Amino acid sequence: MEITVQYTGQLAEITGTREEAIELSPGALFKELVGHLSARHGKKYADLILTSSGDLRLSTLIIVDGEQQLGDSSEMVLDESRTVMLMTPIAGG
Amino acid sequence: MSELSDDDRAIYEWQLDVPGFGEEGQARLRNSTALVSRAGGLGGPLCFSLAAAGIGKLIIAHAGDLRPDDLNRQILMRHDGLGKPRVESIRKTLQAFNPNIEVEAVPENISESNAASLVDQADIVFGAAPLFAERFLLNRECVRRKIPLIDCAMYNMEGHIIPIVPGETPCLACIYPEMPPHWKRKFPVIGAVSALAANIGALEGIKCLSGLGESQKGKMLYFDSTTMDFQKIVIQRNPDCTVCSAT
Repeated sequence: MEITVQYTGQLAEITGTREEAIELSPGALFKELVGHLSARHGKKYADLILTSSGDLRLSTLIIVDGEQQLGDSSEMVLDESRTVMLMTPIAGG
Repeated sequence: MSELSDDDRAIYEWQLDVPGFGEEGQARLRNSTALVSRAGGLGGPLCFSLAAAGIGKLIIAHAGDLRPDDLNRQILMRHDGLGKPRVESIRKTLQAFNPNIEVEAVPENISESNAASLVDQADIVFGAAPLFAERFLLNRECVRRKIPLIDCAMYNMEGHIIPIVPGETPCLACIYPEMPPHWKRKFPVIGAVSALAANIGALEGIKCLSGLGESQKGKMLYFDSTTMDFQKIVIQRNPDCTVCSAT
């Protein structure tokens, strides 16, 4: 299945894109998507969204189809055609 | 609530015609005080728009002296203010633009020692500081006092605006439960992007104070100006939020 992933802020800089389509197995979990993206985009990317123990940082916003996901989203099942936006905090003034 | 004077009617005539605003909305603005945390690239245009709209009083907290690298975006500043306190340029520019509003420029950034007393004086607060420590302090004090907060932020070509109504909507700590470790003080910025975020924030503030239109509280208004894509993101209250869960 294909998931659309959008990036903002520093994540968009590191990946060099604002949106990409990612192919995952049907029924894949959110943590599998994160693992896939970390392998694809490297250490700088992983450091930005993950803690040293590999958990998602609390400050990484996960937005699925326009709605913020609260709490631990690692076991969230991803459906075909979902748009996942990953947002790291910004505070520029 | 004090009524509009003939001078007010002359200056604000064109916006009095905006449906849903009128004399009542103008009078509400006239009787309101806004606290703005920093009047740089984002807070500067925000203050300009509030001054143009006829806010009663602006309290602006911004420390430091004006530097050359401020001038690509900090539109309240003036070239002859280089090396001088930013609050001097801020006060002069705003008062020259609209002498009928009150401007109190505080030569300090928001800190533990001034946050409570400054927020206490405001009917609405605008967060436009480049550091999360200042934004989180404002958020905490606004939640404690149930004062609306419009948090405005930008980075590179993007920006977002979060209208927060304590007790009703998520607060900033619901969205960011920890200090973001990778945020850096220096960020890429073109002034027009800051001003875009600022004016969306100013408008949400004007709507909140005057009762005009439909507040976007409970949403993050996100834009990417490289593509001019705008999104309304639904944000969630965190039942375990350390700042607002008890409200």
